[in-house]
Amino acid sequence: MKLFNPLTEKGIPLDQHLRTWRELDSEPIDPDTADPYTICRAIVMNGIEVEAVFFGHHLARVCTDMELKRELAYTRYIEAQQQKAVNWLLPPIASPLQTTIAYEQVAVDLTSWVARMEPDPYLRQAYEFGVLEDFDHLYRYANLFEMIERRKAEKVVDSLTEVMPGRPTRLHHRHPADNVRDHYDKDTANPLSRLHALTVMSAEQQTMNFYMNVGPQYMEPIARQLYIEIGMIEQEHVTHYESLVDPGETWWERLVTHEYNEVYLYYSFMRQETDPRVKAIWELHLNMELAHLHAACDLMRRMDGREPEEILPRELPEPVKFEPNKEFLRELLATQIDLTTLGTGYVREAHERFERMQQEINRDGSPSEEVIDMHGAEFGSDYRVETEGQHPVEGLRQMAEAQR
Amino acid sequence: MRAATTVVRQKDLIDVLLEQHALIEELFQLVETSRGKAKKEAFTELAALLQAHEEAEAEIVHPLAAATIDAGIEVTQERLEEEAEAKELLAQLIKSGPGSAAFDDDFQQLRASVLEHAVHEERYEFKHLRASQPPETLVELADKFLKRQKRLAATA
Ligand SMILES: [Fe+2]
Ligand SMILES: [Fe+2]
Ligand SMILES: [Fe+2]
Ligand SMILES: [Fe+2]
Ligand SMILES: [Fe+2]
Ligand SMILES: [Fe+2]
Repeated sequence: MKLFNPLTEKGIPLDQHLRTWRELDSEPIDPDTADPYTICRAIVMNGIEVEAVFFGHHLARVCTDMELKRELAYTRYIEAQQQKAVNWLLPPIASPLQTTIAYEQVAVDLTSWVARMEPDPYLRQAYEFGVLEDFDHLYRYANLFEMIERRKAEKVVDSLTEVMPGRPTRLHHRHPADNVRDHYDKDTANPLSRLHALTVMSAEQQTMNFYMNVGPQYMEPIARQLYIEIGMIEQEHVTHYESLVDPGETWWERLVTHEYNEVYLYYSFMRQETDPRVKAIWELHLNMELAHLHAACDLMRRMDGREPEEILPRELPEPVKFEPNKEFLRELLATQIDLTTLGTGYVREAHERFERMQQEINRDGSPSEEVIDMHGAEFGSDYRVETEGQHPVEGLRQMAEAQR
Repeated sequence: MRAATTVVRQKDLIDVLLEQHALIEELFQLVETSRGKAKKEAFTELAALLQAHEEAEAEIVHPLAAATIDAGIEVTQERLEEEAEAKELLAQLIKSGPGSAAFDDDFQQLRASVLEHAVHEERYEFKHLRASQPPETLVELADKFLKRQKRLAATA
């Protein structure tokens, strides 16, 4: 097989990227017949494009060269068009809460993949830590879903991802200072580590955006409050993952990393996509991103006087895949559920700063606990999808829950 | 903060409607994935539920929405048109029956139109009814809706 080399593949020339409104209005995915992972891939790529747009805006705000500013404005406009074409794939028939469940499924299976592939043990720990929290969010939202929309999350996740308690959501509220991790070292980091951190950070950032915007559309107090509570945790997650990135990287090297990562992900998803119509979009965008990447590489050479090869993988890493991570997650549940953070590290005991934050923030109850209690009161027990047997942690098994 | 209570909520009209929408969705899936006798049975069940659901809605839900929500008359008029379209499609399908040549294509059309209709109801009617009606009224209406459906089924 011929290796795909992003630095030598040509792509579509930059001046041919503009699309009409009709072209951008992608025909939505039919949720009843689609592979749930097709929807997951669209959610990831939307988050990646949103990050491309906002990163571009921040870069423009510190750019003093008018000519350069115009050049950047053009590619950023294209990123914004790509974001529309991707996000418009989402089924309009799905409610915001149904889409929320898909967002958490993305967080679970994407972060699990990244954790499994991450070469650096400290970074790997950061992903393993975070994934148990989104895993719990999936469970809380699934209970809300059945309660207020009378539908089952099983139809959304389709048994690819299990739904059961993770690290309890009420315990995710750490003191913000304890959400800041140490960063990788830009001079020695494995290039794959840069891509991982950017990918997961972008996904979490879009999750944060999504919850802050759709939460107030609900009128049931429990729904409104759960979106606030989990929305605040997604903001913690952005802090957690963004702090893994070396702040000493130049703007231009960060731009190259962004474009390379877009190439990498579109290539990955194009390879895995089963829906031919969606696959065609991944392929088209891949060919656009190649042109963005080459332009960004030129800028890095021109502005920093350095070669992009210094920071990029020698060859394209193994393509990112959406696949079930049930055993991996069960292992993490069994071994890491009681972790919290202290400074830049992880501890098992609830330390003083953590306790103080908890008392302050949860002092008049936790929506994430109430949603389970309310569901139990109405339906007799909590909602779960346990395809591989009972919960690995004894205290979190459903029988124990029901007896309480 | 307004405290979310753990008092058991009583099932109201909107809960009943959402449950039936979910059931309708499942039955569509079941018909699609079944063959032979099982398909026939699933289709009979779906057809009966659809008829009972839409008729009781037309009698109880849409008039209430028309009278109480903003632009209620226009909103419900569109729902009634969608229901009429679905009714016609359903009648055709009942006549041809599963197993006939045209069934699968027509069935897909019915599924798309019914599910889209349900989303329109949820977004443009039910959400507003929950906001405009006192909770007790909606609980009482749940009962009325189910009783009406039973009577319709008995006379069908
Ligand atoms: Fe892009
Ligand atoms: Fe989450
Ligand atoms: Fe998250
Ligand atoms: Fe790009
Ligand atoms: Fe209806
Ligand atoms: Fe309906």
